[in-house]
Amino acid sequence: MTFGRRPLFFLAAGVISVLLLAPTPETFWWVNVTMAGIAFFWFVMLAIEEGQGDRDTPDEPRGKGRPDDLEGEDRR
Amino acid sequence: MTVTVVAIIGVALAFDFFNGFHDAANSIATVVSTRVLTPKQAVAWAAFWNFAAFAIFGTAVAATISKVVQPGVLNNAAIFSGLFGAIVWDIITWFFGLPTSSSHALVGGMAGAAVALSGWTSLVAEEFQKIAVFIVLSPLLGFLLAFTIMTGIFWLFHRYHKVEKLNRGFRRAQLVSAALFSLGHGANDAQKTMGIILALLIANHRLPIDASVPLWVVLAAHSAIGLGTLFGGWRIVHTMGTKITKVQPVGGFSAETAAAAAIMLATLGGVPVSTTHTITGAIVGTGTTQRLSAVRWGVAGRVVWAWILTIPGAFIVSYSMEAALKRVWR
Repeated sequence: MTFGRRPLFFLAAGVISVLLLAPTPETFWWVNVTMAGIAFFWFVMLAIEEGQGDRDTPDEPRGKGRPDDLEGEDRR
Repeated sequence: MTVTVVAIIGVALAFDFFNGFHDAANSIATVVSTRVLTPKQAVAWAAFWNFAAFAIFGTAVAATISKVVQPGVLNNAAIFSGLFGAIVWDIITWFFGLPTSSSHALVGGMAGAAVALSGWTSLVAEEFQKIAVFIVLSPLLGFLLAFTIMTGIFWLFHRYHKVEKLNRGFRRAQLVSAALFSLGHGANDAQKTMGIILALLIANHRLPIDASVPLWVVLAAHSAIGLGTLFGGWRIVHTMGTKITKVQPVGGFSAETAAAAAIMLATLGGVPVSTTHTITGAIVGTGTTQRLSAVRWGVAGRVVWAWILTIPGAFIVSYSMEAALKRVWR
């Protein structure tokens, strides 16, 4: 099974958060754990999305009907 | 208070002013690039909230900064050298339009001066460890929160096909997110100067070693950073607002809200973080919701290199300055 760049990006973010647990002062461990949780959550979600080949994935070229439609905005 | 102490406080406040000047772009880049406010309106808005932060946040970050070097080690010349190194590094990076961290320049500068004065044992390892970890964590947290907020907004408004209408709504919301970010920026960054002035007053026996930050120092530091923001640096606005990734109002709102949350969290925990690192991470996070290629990784990479070099760069300048002052005054 292969993953695209975006899920791997989040996987890397999660791994970094976990690896930094050792040097992080104990009072801030919850920050690392929360970050790792968010990162792994998005890794799984993006991996599933890629697996399904969802046409609405943000990796697809933008259409005019999205709020972040840069090209659409530019054309106006 | 001696003339030397007053002069060094003046230099510290000048650093704070320049910090606001240098970092103004972070607070207003997205608001300006999305044309929510004109540059003049944006800096006035950010400066006001920079100042207002004094009424909301404590001084935990100032306490951390004043403890980076062992108590009793620093003297007036070393504190001046530390500030000198940080200011010189800020000017260099400002000249090249690089959004580096004034905070890390200050930490690197104080460390360089302390090492030149009393060797490596003068540094407090635990405080450095805390700062070092958050050099990595703060942009990563900004990135993850911004991606989450932006995706949440898309999910909530996925039936909202009127792009202009949605972005118009987030134009107004960006005023709130910019205010939040400026609050966080003022709170975290002004406290770094407070920490330096606190260390100076303790070194000159004007305050006991366990003293908290006097109110006049708090007000002076917030005024300096607010005024610095008012005179903001436009070179960096350009890099932050347009070169890393193109930002729309909804992205600007997400990035600022995420960065504000990360910075406020660090401020309450007493961790001096880089507002620059955090907002850059958040801007990359919003860019990533489109696709990774929306982020201009070449520019982002150049920024990362400037970050990596900040502490060593300021360290070397301050170390050299302190070594020269020691030789002249000996």
